Amino acid sequence: MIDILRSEICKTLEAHFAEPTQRETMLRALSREGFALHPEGRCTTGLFTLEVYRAIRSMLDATAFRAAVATELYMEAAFMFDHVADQELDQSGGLSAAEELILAVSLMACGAAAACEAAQQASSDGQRLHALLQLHRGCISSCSGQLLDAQVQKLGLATTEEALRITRLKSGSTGRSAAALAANIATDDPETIRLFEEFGFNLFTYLQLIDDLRDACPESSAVTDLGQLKKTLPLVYFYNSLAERTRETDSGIIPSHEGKPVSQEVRQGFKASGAEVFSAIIAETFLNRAKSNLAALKNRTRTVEGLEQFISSLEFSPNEIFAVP
Amino acid sequence: MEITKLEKAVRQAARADSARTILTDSESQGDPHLPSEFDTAAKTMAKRRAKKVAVGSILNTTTAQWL
Repeated sequence: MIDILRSEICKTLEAHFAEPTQRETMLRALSREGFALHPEGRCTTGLFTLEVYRAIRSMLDATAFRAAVATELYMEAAFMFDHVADQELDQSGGLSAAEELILAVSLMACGAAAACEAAQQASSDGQRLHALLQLHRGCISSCSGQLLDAQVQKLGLATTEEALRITRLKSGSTGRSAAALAANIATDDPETIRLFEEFGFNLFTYLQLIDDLRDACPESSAVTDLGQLKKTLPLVYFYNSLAERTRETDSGIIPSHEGKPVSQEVRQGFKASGAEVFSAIIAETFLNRAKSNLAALKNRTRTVEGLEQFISSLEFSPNEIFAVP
Repeated sequence: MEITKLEKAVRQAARADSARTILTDSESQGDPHLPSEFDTAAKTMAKRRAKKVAVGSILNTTTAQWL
């Protein structure tokens, strides 16, 4: 399924990017590690959109793939924004910040075009345009999360509530809009649509929290979110632990300078702070909410087997961070 | 979502630094002071673990009760 999705993405770029330089640069950009056209690219958002559609219709058709291309391209645009925000520009690709940003904007426009095509294919009565409205509302919410994130990065300490709010807006909204598009073009039932939207919101919030947990301070990698002083949920918890300790004892572990490797002392401090447990429990809460949404959808759809397998394929094992004695 | 309650509970446990705690399993009684959703989350997470697994020197027994 992912191969077909990738092929559809390429066809969409061919169809909408008439300028060869723009098209070829975009294809190269999307072939980088972590992006959709890389052999190990996960295309999570597009595959999720396909599974929602299949749960309702029991099959996948051209409309489903148009919708999946739309949501995946929006996600890829967000990844490009992250690249710029994180200043992790790909040296081999040679993209400047300006190039990366304009590619991201182009991808969003291309995603909108694919979404319009999906809605047109689904119905001629115009009613399905509601699907597009919901998609774009979700994208605006997601952008508001990106903006808050950028602003929080410039500040000193943040609260864990702020960090979670940003995650919910950035990632939860993406899941909600992907589900909204697929569900709105596949059914007219408002309760089914509402449940799928909630399901998408909770599942994508969970996935982002797990990503943040994995990237916070992995043993196997010299590049860590902690080293870059990012303000993700586990790290905000950790920074505030340090601040509290510093206030009370005039000591504390100070994180390394931004961009430098994290020292073993700081790594140990992170582990001992409880940040992983805290974040894992909150992530699990969102997973449970998503599973509850899916249980409620069982009687309203033809099959949720694909979505259950989708969750299983992404589910986080607590053993990843809590060592087995 | 009252995450500050969870944050406070985990932080206190970590600061105590008193025990290398073993997660028992979902048979624990839970912590009545925490929102039940977190309690449930800790239990479902525990269920997915291979029996008893050490959290490391993170949690004291108070927190382990609801884990």
